[in-house]
Amino acid sequence: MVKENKISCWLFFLLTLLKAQRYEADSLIISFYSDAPLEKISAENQTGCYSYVDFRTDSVYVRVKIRGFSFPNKLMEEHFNENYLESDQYPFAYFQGKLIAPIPYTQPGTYAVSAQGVLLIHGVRRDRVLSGVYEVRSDGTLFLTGKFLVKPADHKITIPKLLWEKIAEEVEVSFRGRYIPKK
Amino acid sequence: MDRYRISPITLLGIAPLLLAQPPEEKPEPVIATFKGTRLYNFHTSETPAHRHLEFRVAHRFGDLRQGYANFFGIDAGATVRISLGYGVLPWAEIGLERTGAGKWWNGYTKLRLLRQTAPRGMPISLTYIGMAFLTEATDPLRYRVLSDRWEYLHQLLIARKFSRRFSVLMGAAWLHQNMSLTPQALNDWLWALGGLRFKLFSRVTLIAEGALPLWKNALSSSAPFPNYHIPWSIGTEIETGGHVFQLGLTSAAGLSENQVLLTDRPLLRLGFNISRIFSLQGGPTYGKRE
Repeated sequence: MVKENKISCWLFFLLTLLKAQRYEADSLIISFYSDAPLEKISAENQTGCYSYVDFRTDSVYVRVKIRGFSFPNKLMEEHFNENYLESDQYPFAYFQGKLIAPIPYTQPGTYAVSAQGVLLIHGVRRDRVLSGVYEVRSDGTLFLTGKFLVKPADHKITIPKLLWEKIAEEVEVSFRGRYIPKK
Repeated sequence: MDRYRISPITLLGIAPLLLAQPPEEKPEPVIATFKGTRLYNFHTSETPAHRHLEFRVAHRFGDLRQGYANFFGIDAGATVRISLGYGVLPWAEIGLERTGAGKWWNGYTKLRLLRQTAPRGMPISLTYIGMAFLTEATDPLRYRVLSDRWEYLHQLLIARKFSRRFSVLMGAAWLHQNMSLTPQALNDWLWALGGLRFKLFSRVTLIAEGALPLWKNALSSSAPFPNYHIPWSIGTEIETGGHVFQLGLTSAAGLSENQVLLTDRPLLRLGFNISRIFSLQGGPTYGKRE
């Protein structure tokens, strides 16, 4: 009886240890900004992002719902979904990768972080290295911020020359989120 | 049989994988059932987004069958309609229009009563449009007092987007004329409306619409007023950013709905619509960090 208890205690301890290495984003905001000479286009996604980092395997996973992007101009939002990202066929964008160097995620402080992996937008995969800054707070939560550039052409998002909507050849994507240990 | 039994240990192995799955997606309103708020002559189920203003100009030329002598109706000059519509709520629009032919003013209220959702939930969208028309035309025999000059049109539209390319519209229209066309003619008229949209490429769409008169003997020569005709239109929509161009061919007379519906002889007219949407929402510029 005592031995069994001991084992289950160990198991419980091990499990919590494993769990504590997995951090999930409880708030993650992804926005983008296209700065063309005639028209500035920007959108923000507050509700459609799901992400976790598993420090046991150093793996990173991000899933972004395309319909979650909110534009100040709703016509642009419709075009973004219907003509550019074709969200009925490709409802999500993903990033799946591995941290290039391990992060001291239990030591409060600010660390640069990079992850190498696959960025999947509009059904087109691209190998990318994405970088950001991790801030480990004393309460054990992690704050992640960063930005990267996406070329629409890299993901077969075509922009007709005839179009009056001007879209930059490179779009700046920013992210900021809070990760908490998964219980 | 035993082979297929899932052991508790296997379940334990699967459990973390299941937990890793993000929460299930809930149904969302379907967007872009139609490209704009009008199919060609008639309304679609769409309204402008909340706090967005739509400005439209519609042109219809003369009868194509006049041939080259009149350059396929274009030399005959165009009748023009100018429209402004505003999304006062995410599901409501108010609008004001002026039509050259017949000197019609009209205002309308358009309400999205139901909205189709995907992947499950509401299978259709339901839209009501109430319009009031007032003419400034001089016709002393027909219009004696101001109240003679009013006409009212109610439309109920059911729309469904079947796929990313194909949407269908069906509905009913009821027109009341305070003063009938002739002393013998009806004051109230009823139609069944139909329309469809087929998306050829991401920015090019084919459109078609028609209205079937529903009163007795509508299409025969013994009808209460001249033998009626089914007004139809076919066209193509081209989207260029904030603008939608619609180029079409219609059999209808006039340009405002009350004229189009009461087409008494088939014509063949070229025309086009241009619409532009303005966002009056203002709002932040996202993503720019200094």
